[in-house]
Amino acid sequence: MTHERAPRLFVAVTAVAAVLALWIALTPSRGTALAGYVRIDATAQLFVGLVNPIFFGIAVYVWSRSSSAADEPTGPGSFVTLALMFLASVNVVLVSRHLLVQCLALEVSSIAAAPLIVRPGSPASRRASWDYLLFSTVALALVSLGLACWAHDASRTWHRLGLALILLGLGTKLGLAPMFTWLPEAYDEAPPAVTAMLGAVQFNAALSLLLRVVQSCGPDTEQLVNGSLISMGIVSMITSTISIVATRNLKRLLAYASINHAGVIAIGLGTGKAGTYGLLLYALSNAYIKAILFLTAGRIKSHYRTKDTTRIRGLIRDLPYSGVFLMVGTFALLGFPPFGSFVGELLILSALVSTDRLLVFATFCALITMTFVATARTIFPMIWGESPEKREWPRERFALIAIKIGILVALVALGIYIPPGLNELILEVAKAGGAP
Amino acid sequence: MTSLLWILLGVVLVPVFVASRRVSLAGLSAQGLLLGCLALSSAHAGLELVDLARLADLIAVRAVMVPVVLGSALRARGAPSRVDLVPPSILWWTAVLGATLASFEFANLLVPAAGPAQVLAGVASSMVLVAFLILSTQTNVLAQMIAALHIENAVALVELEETHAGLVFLVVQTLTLIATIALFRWYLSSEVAAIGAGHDAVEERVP
Repeated sequence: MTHERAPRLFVAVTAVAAVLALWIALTPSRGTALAGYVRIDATAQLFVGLVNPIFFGIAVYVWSRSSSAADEPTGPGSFVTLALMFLASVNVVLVSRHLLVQCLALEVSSIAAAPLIVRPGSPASRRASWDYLLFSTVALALVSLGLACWAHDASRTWHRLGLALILLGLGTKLGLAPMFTWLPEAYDEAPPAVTAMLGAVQFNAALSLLLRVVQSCGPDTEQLVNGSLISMGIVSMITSTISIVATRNLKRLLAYASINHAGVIAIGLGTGKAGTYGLLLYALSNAYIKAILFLTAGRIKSHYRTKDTTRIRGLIRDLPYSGVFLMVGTFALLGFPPFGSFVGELLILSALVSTDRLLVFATFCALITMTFVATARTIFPMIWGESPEKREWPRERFALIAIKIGILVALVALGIYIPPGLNELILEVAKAGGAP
Repeated sequence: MTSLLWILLGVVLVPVFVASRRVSLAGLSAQGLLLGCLALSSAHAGLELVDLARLADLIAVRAVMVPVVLGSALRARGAPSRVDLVPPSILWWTAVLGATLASFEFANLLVPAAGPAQVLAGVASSMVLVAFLILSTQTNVLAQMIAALHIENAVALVELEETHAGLVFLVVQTLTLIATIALFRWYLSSEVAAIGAGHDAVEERVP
C-alpha cells in the first residue's frame, strides 16, 4: 500500500464496518451463525454499535494526521494492516459466543496493537509496548487457565478458582488493580490514535467479555464475583486518585483517569443487577470520553511539544477547538451533568445504597471528590490560564474537528436523550448482565 | 503419566537455579516435549486430526520453534549467556521451593484423591507461581518471556485434561502462539533489554 492510499483505504474500510455495525445494532433480528460460534444478541449489538463508529472516528484522525505530516518516517501500510486486524479481532470478541474464542480474539487484538505502540526512535515507547504485550499475554493466559478450571466438573473449588483467575486476567486487561502498571506506560507512550484504540475500543471488548462471564455465573459464586469486583474497583480508584494528584503529564493523567473509570465500572458490575444499567451507560460515555480526550491530547502535545501540564496554558485562545474539546471532555470525565457519565455514576451510587454497601458508597464518594479536585486543578489552568507567549498555530483540519464534534454530540446525547431503541438495548443487556 | 509430570516439574525448576540462557531455552524445549509426551499418553486409541494438531502445537512450536527463534535472536544480538530467572540468593531459591510446596498443598485441596490428577494440578500451579515469582523479581526481557511461556505451558498442561476444543480453534491458537513468539523475537532483536531512556519524545509518529 502506498503512503497516500493506505489511510484512505483505512477510512473506507472502517466506514463500511461502522455502517454495518450500526445496521446490526439497530436491526431487531438476532441469531447464531457459523455452527453457533457467532451470536448476535443485545450485548453484541450494543458493543458492536459502540466501538465501530468510534474506530471510524480514529481512522479519520489517522488519515487527517497522515496527510498533514506526509514526511513522517512511518509505514502507513503496516499501520493500517495491524489496525484492521485489531478491529476484526475486537469484533470477533464482541460477536462470538464461545468464551475461549473470545479470549483468543482478544489476544490477537493485543498482538496487533503491541507494535503500534512503538514510535520510531523512542526506547520508552518500545518498553511500554513490551510491557503491554507481556501483561496481555499473562492476563489472557490466566483467563484461559481460569476457563479450563471453570469447565472442570469436579468440585465447587475448581469453579471458584477458575472464576478468580478469569477476574484477575480480565481485570488486568481492563487496567484494574493489582496488575495495572502497563496501562499508564502504554497510554502515555503510544501515538494518540493507538491510545484511543486501546482505551475506547479494546477496553470495551474486554468489558463485554467480562459481562459474558458474569452473565454465565450462578448464584453460588455471587459473593466471590461481587466481592472481587468491588475490591478491585476500590483499590484501582485509590491508586489512580493518588497518581492523578501526583502527575504533571497530561496523557498520564488521562491514563490514570481511565484506571479510575475502570474502577467505577468494576464497582458498578459488583453491585449486581441493580447497577448494571448505570454501569453500561457509564461505559458507553467512557468510550466517547476517552476517544475525544486522547485524540485531543495528541493534538495538544504535537503543538506545544510537551506533555507537561504546567507548560501548557491558554488553550482556549491558542487552540480554540482543542480547548473546547478538552474542556467538554473533562467535564464529562469528571461526571458533570448533562453527560451520560453523570447519570451512570449516579445510578451506580444509588445501587450501592440500595444494596446496603454504605462503606463502599462513602469511599467511592470521597475518591471521586478527590479525583475531581485533582483533575480540575491540573486541566482547568491549561484551558483558561494565561499563555506565556503568543503562538501562531496552523488551522485545524475540518475532518478532525468534525469527527470530534460527532463524538461530542454522542456523548451529550447519552446524558440528555437516549433514543428508545438504544435504551431498550441497554435495558436488555442490564437484564441479562450483572452479577447474580 | 505421573513420572512425566514429575520430570516436567524438574524441567521447570532447574533453570531457576542454573542461571544460564541455554539451560533456560533447553528447559522450555523440554517442557514442550514433555507436554507432547503427556498428550500422546492421554490420547485415545487412534490419533485423530485434533490430537495431531495438538502435538504439532506442543512439539513443533513449543519444543522446537520457541527455543530456536529466541536463541537465534539472542545470539544475533550477542546477549550475555547468564540469565537469572530469580535473584541469585538463598532467599529467592527458598521462595521458589516454598512456592512449589505451597502449590502441592493447594493441589491437595483441589484434588483430594492422590493420583495423576493431583500431581498435574500441583505441577501446573507450580509453573504459574514460579512464573509470577520471576515476573515480580526480574526486569530482564528474556526472563519475563520465559515466565510468560511457563504460564502458557501451564495452560496447555491443564487443557490436556479439561478442554475439548475443535480443530479450527486449536489451529488458530497455535497460529496466535507463533505470532506471539515472532513478536517476542522482534523485541529481543531490537534490544528492548537496553531500556533506560526516560520519557523523551516530542517526536510523534503518524498517526
